[in-house]
Formats: sequence, C-alpha cells, structure tokens
Amino acid sequence: MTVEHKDIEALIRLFEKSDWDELRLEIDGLQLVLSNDPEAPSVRVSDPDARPAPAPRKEPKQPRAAAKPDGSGAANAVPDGLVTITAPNLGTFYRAPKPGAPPYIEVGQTVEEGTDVCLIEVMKLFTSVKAGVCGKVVEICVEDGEMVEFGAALFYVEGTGGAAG
Amino acid sequence: MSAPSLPEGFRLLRFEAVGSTNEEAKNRAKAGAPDGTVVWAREQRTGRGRRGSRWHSPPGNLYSSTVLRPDCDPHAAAQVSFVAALAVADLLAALLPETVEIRCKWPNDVLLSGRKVSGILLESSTTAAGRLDWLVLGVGVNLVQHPGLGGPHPSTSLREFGGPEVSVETALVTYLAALADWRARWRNAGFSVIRRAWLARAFGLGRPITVKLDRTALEGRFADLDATGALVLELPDGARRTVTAGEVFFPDAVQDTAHAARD
Repeated sequence: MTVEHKDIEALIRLFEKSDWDELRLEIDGLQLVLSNDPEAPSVRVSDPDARPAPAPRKEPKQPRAAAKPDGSGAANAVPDGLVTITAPNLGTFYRAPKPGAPPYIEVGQTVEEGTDVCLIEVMKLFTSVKAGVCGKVVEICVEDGEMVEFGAALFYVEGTGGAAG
Repeated sequence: MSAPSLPEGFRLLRFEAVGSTNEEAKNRAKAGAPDGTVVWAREQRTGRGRRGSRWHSPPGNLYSSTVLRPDCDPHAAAQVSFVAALAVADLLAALLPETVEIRCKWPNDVLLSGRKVSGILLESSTTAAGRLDWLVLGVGVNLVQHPGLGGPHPSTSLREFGGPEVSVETALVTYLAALADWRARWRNAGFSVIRRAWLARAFGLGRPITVKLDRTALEGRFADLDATGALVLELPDGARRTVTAGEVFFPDAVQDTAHAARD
C-alpha cells in the first residue's frame, strides 16, 4: 500500500477541520507529522527508504484539492474512513463517455488507481479522470451534467488499504 | 504517394482509413506515443465530434489528431483549444483570398463567413496522481466537401470559398507549422498572447448569444474572453457570468443557416 499525495492532502484537510493539536502517523515506513504548534514544521514527511516523497509537490500555485471558502466541493467534510476523488479541473462533469453509454463507474464498484471514473469538459476539452485511489465507490457526489469546480469532491471511496482510513 | 515532410517536432502515422483519428491517437498516447505524434487519415469511418456526434469524413478533407504532452496542469490544457483554432485560422488565411472572413467561434470552431469549416476536439487524460498525462488534439478541416445541411451549425468548405486545389498533404504541413508556431508563443509568452490573437479573430464579439448547457440555456451578450479562456456572458440585467462549457448559438445569424440549407 503506497500513500498517495491526495491521501496526505485528505489528512491535512481533516486535520485542519479538527480540534487536534498534533497528528502523528506512521504507515509502512512513512512518517507524517501535522502540528498546530508554530514552533513545529507545519507538514513534515519523512521516508526512511529515501524513495521520492509523494509530497510536497512542485505545484505551488494551486493545491490540487483546494478547499473552497464557500463550503462547496472539497471543503465538505469527508466522511470517516473514506477518501475523495477530486476534480482535476473545472468544467462539466459527465458520468459516461458519451450520451447513452453506460457510466464509467457505479456505486458499489471497485476502482483501482488507473480506473477512469468520469469525464470533465471545459472549452471542448474532454478530460478522462483517473481514480487515483483503490477501493469501493460509496457515493457519487455530483449529478451528471453538473458544473464542478477545481478540487471539488466527485466520488467518495472506501479505501481497501489503511492509508487514509 | 510520398509521405509529406513534417515540421520539426512532429512524426507522422499515416493511414488510408481509420475509424477515428482521435481514437487511434488516444490508443497511441496510452501506449506511450511521444509529444508531436500525428495520426493522419485520408478517410474516417466513424469520425466523431463533441459528445459522440458524427463528423462527416469522406476522402479529400483533412483529418488529423496530434498527441501533445504539454507540461501544464489539467485545467490549463483547455487553452490548447484556442491555440489550435488560431493554427487552423492561419492555415485558412494562407490558402484563401484576403476577402474571405475567417473567424474563430468560442471555444474552438473556425468559420468562413459564419459557416463552420473546421472542427476541433480535444481529449485528455490525467495520471493517477492528477497531473495531465496526454492530450489528443483532433482537427478536421473541410477542404473540398462538407455535410451541406442546414441545422444549428451550417457548414462549408475551403473549395466553396474559392480556395485553391491544394493537396491534403500541403494542408496538413501548413497546419502543423502554424500549430508549432502558436504553441511556441503559448509556451513562451503565456495565454494572454493567445487570448489577444483569438479576440482579434473572434466571431460575434458583442453580439447576442445563446449558450446551451446540458439542461438549460443562457442568453445574453458575448462580452469578452477571460484570462483562462472562459466566455464572458453579459446577462440582460448587466451581470457578467463566465461560461466554460456548452454550445454557443448566435440568434441573429439565421441568414447563414438559410444560405447553407441547400443540398
């Protein structure tokens, strides 16, 4: 089980919404420390195997799962034990590759990281979105044809591993 | 038939006929085809447009799909719609008399006197980590034939506007050179340069428009293109709304439909 960047983002979001002072987590040799103590580093990821760390990443402009101040999208509380598949860009959300075709995925279905889960259209660019997580889809957060913002929650997935559970 | 010599940075996969050049290019992209791989076919059996609509694809027109791997976020990839439309406009400008009006319709159609001569369809995929993996830029240009029907998007061809008899090879090479040129400007100077050039060629700027979304339609005035490429719609009450998806119609352009509705 590898810990993905988005798993860490999900943990950071949970931590920010919590009243905890500090979170220490160790999974499979990867240590994550989140702390509200200004003296402590705000995010510290260490990996004794010296593999390329999944975070921090080289996209300082906009975090992928930016929390929306208006309470929509990614800022909604993620139900316990679930991970979120978020929108990689803003646009119109489609559940199927074309009208009349079966949806990419249904609730109850198991996805893997490379599974296509939906399409997002923006300015006639159709982007197929990969799950990026493994597990069982428990909720589809958006209606077919609805507009989504960058970083909005699209699906909740019950992870098969312990990374974000 | 000799293979055309493409501008630097492109490599050609040539087909007599394929189902759809976009499908072929997507399969190649998924298998790791590098940036600049061009799928070109003389004919498409199941050419497609937006959301699975058919794209009329007899021999004689240009059908190409190019694999791109721009180093950008998924949301910036949509700007390629405008980069591609400008490249097609340059192709047309190189071939047509100066009197023919070449306009870009949001987001990426190219029109000759208000009638559609080119279709552009972009498809992309993210990596499991949420980055842009590949982008397939499908470009069809009606060189000699077009569907000829009326309907919401009247069409035309280069031939109908007095374009010279050029080979599809020449059109392909001219288009790819223009694509490389606009892409370099996008990469070096950013989207603002693309936006300005596109606005200079925009169809219907300032005119009333209807934007059809999946279930609803918005009416207003086409006010601007914003810094991300979204259409800025001015609503009847003066409020402005940005539109990122949907089909744009110009209600005051009905005469074009009448003109094109002959068999």
